[in-house]
Amino acid sequence: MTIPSYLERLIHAGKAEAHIYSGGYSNQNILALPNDNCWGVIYGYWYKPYMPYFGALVEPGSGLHPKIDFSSMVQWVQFTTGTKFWPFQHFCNQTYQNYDADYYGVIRNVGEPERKTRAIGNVDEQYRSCYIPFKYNVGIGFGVNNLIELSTNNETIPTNNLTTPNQLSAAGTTIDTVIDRFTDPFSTFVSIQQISTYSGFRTQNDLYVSLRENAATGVYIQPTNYFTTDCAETETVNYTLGSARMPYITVNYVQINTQPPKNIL
Amino acid sequence: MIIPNYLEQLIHSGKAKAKVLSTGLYMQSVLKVPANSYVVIYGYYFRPYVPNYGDIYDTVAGTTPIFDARQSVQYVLFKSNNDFYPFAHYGQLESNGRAASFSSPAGVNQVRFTPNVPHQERSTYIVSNSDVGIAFSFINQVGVAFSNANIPIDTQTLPAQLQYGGENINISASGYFDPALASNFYPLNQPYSTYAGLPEANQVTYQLWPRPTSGTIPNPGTATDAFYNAKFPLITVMYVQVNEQMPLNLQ
Repeated sequence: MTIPSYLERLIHAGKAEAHIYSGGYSNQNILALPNDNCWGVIYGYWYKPYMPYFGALVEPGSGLHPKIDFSSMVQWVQFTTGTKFWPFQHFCNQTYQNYDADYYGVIRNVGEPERKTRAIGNVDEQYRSCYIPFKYNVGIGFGVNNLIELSTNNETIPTNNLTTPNQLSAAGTTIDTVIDRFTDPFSTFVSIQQISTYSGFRTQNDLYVSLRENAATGVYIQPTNYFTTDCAETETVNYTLGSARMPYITVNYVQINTQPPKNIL
Repeated sequence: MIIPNYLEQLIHSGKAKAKVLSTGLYMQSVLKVPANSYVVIYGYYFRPYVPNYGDIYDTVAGTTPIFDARQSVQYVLFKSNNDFYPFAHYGQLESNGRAASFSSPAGVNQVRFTPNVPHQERSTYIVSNSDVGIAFSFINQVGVAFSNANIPIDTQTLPAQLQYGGENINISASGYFDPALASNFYPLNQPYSTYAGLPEANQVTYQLWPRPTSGTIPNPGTATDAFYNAKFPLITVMYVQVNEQMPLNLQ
C-alpha cells in the first residue's frame, strides 16, 4: 500500500498531514477530524480479524474443542463518512487446526497456575487499499457475515449501492445477524429497534447509517462474552487472552487542512 | 494496488468519485453506471470459491473432501458492452488446509477441512460507460489434449482452448440472460456479439442462476449453518465513477 501521489504532493505543499488511526476491539471506532476546516482521505488500512476462538481450551481426550461459528469466517470492515458507506469484506479463517500437532500450543496464560493446551492458530492480517474522502468524523465498524443458508432460488443480481448487497447482508429469517452498531456522524445513536429489521440500515441512502445497538438473538461482537461462552470453558480472569481475540485496525489517512470542497465530498 | 494518479486528480478536481462494490456469492453481480458518466475499475480483491470448505474430514470413516480440480483455476470475468476482461486466479486447491477440530452448528464435534483462502489482489484498468457484469467461473472439465490446437491469442473471450467445455459448456460460467433470445446466453464460448453483453435496460430484473459447483448446486445448509458463506466467492471492486460523458477515444 502506497500513499497516492496527489495526497503526497499536498503533504509536501504544506496543505496536508499524514496520519494513522489504530482502533479495534469494540464494535465501533471514530476517526475524528479536529475541526470543520479540514477534511481527509483514507487511502488504506490493515485489519487483524476477529478470532473468537483464539486461545480456546482444547482437550481432545474429553472432547473439548472450540465451537466454530462459520459466520465469523467472513468479516466486514465498514466505514461510514456521513455521506457514503464503504463496506469491505475479509475472509478470516478460524485456523485452529491439527489439535494434536502444529497449531495448538501448550501455554500458560497470565493468571493461570498451569499450562493448558489452547488453540493458537495463524492470524492472517489483511490490508486493503481504498480512497475514502470524508469531511465528518468517520465511523468504523466490524461485522461478521450473517447466518443465511444457501438459497438455490433465483435472486436479484447484486448491484452497487450504499449498503452491502442484499444477498450478502440480509435475507429471510436470519437478518438479525449481520453487523453491530455503527457510528452516527451526528452523534445521534439510533438503535436497530428504531430503525428497522433490515440489516441495521434504515434506508439505502440514509445519512444516519447506524448499525444495531443490540441484537439479543443475533450474532454480534461482544468483547468479553465470547471469552466465556464460546469456548466450552469457564474463565473469568484471563481477559488479555480475550483481548487477543478481538479485531484491530490501523487506518492510513491524510488530513487536508483546507475547507472541505463541496465538489468532492 | 494504488489508485491511478490521473483518476485521483479527477476526484480532487470534483469530476469523479471513488467507490467500492463488495459482493460475491452469486455468479453475477452488476456494477451499475449512471447515465452521462463512466467508470474505471482500477482493481479488485477476490476470494476464490472453495466448495470443499468446511467439509467433514474423517480419515477413519473414510469421509474426506472430494475435490474438483476445476476449482483450482477460477476466472473473475468483467463484461461491459465495450469489452470483456477475464482474470485467472488460483483457487487454493491445496494441502495446507488441514483438518480442524470443530463443532458443527449442531454442536457435534467434527473434524472439518478449513484451508486458508485469502483474498487475491489484481490491479486493473477497465473503462466502461455501461453497466459492468461481474462473474466467477471455474475452468472446465476438458482433459488435456495432445493434439495440435490453435495458439491462444487475445480475443474478446477467454482463449478457446482453455474455456471450451464440450458437453459441459454450461458449467464454466453461468449465462447472461439474453432478452432477445429469451434464454441464457453463454458468452464465453462464443465470439463477442451484441448479445453477449448485459441487456441494455432493466438489468436488475434479469436473473442468473448460481451454479457455483459447475452444474451441481450445493445442498442448502440449515437455518443456522453459515458453512456456505465461508465457501463462496467474494469480491471487492475498487472503481472511480467519472461524472461526465465518456470520451470517444476511450470507447
